[in-house]
Amino acid sequence: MSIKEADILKLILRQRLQLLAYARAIVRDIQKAEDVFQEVSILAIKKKNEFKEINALPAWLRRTTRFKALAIIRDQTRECTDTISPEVLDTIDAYWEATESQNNRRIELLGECIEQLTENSQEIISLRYFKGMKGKDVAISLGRKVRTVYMALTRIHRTLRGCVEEKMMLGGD
Amino acid sequence: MGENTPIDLYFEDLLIRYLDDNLTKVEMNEFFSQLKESKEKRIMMAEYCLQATFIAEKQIFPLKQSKPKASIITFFKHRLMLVAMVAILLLSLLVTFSVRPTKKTYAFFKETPNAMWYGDAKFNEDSIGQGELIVSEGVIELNFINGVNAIFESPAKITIIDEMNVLITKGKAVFKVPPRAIGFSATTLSAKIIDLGTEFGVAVGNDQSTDIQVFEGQVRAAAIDEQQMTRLESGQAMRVNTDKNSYAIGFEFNRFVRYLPDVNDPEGRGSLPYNTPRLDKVYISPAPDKVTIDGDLSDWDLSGRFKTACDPPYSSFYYVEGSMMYDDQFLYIGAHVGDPYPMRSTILHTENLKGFGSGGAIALRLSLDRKMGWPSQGTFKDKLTPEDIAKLNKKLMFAVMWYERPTRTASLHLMTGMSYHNPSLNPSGYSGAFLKDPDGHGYTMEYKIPWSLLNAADDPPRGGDILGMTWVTHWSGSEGRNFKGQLVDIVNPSVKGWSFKDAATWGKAIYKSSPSAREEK
Repeated sequence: MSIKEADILKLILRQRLQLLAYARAIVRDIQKAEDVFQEVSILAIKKKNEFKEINALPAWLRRTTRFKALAIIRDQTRECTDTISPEVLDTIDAYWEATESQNNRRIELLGECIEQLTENSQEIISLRYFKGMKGKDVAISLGRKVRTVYMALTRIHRTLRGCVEEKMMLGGD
Repeated sequence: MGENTPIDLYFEDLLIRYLDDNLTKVEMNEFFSQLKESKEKRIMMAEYCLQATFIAEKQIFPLKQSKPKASIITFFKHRLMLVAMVAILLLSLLVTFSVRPTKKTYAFFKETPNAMWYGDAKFNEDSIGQGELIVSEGVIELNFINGVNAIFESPAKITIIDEMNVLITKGKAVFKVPPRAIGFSATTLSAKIIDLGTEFGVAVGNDQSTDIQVFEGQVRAAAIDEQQMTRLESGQAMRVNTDKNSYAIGFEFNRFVRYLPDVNDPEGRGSLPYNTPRLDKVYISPAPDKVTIDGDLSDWDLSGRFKTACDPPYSSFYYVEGSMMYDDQFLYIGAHVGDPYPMRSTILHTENLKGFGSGGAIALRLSLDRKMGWPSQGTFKDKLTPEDIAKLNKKLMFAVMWYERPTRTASLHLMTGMSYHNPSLNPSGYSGAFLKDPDGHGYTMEYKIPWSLLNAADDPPRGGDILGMTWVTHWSGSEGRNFKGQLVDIVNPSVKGWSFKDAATWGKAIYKSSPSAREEK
């Protein structure tokens, strides 16, 4: 018996951020990552009759995301050395799989941690990731050096990571 | 560096610049090499990517750099307050699809079964509230509570702010704004558009430039940070680039798909034809020796091909290019049809219906009576007496051809006479095929129907014959079931009336005696 389309959609939506993040790790561009996600979503619906059970879908989604993202990179990259090796992607796959049950909680906590950032830090990550500006454009926009922006982004990511870990250990509060 | 190194500043710097696509080739190799060696670094990469994506997806704090219009600012401030007050709850709702918050309804979603879309703006069966909508395939249609009608064409990303404000970050949209919603506003990352009572389209390019086109009425538009707004009127279009440079561009109907209004839309034509008939005849060519019925007309003699279209502004997307051929055994019908919702009919030939074309179809009214010639004679009667049935002209035929999506069947409905007698559904002996256009804006159909099914095997049309015929094209809505509009052409210009009521209104079907002939006796 095939899986219902509604169940597939629910799962895709639940994993949207993780799949986008995975695609982004490969294509390095949120718009392209979104294109990958859309292609994967459409394909999942088209192939709904081929899935025997819903549990098989997360792995299929990751595998297909990886395949589609690498295809985009292959299309745009002249030299194939500019792509992540399969071993690295395998480990990222494994990480997503292992943390799947915690991911929604992690995302929730990430939102809380972003709220706790300073206004300046919020502004930098907002420009860089929400507005999709390149690092050099963020630097121009803020009147700072690119190097400074990169350092700030490094510090912010590290802070967020630490904050989420801490909240996970404390039970989330 | 080994596993579990607490902080590796160099690697983090490489990672941040990798995500910014700003590594040299040497640095890239170094980055991949470090990733390969360390599981901890791979996990760090996964987490940083998740953080970046989360921020890109969820705007939860205001942007200082942009100065969007007041309503957008109000929206973000509102969201900031919400986040501060109920952060955990809101974020849970954003990631947990199954939990539905109570939201204010700003619009209602109209059924579009072939569209692929998702987002947190939808919170009930058909209610749309504040939040995001992402359309990945097809089109979706929203009817706002203030009467605004919006059509979003994939791929699109829209944020519904309230019933008067939407933010479009990707894709195309067409808005129809009634007088009571004047002031309705669409904003993109590069432009803002305020409606003054009109119909207008907005297209956001991959570079975030915005094309604005006014079909009717007026809008005011400007680059996002500009105070000075430009007034655009019907037939005008403008592009706004992200560098705030804006300039006039040519008005193009094809820039946005124009959908036929609903049958009940007072601005539409209801069930009346959407075209002005312009053809009084069709040339039916002798068929080549071998014709394969596969939805590809490249093996056809297309010398008799005609084109007719709905009246503007729908002509670019609702049209038909028809062709017909014949031989001693078959009548061939082929057409390329412009249709924004191609091959969607959900009407099954097994249903107990009188008509089967309302999901989108080609329908022909044909006279194959060689003795009658042209003009055709015959009138519709609501109820047939036994005498009428005895006098029924079996050589007047009605044929409806449609693609039955659920069963992927090229279906055929045949009826005899003017009063829809002797219905026959998918009779054996005919063949048909449909092929969707690569751009999804139309389809090609190809049918071969034996004269025997058309009650003309005893005396089929021959070269030089002029008989009666009229051609009807039906279009449906996105759901593939409800009739939305029709085009009727190949008519007798000297007789006024309805083609289904009076066969004398039918145009000429001229059967050519040779491929090059253009005879008309």
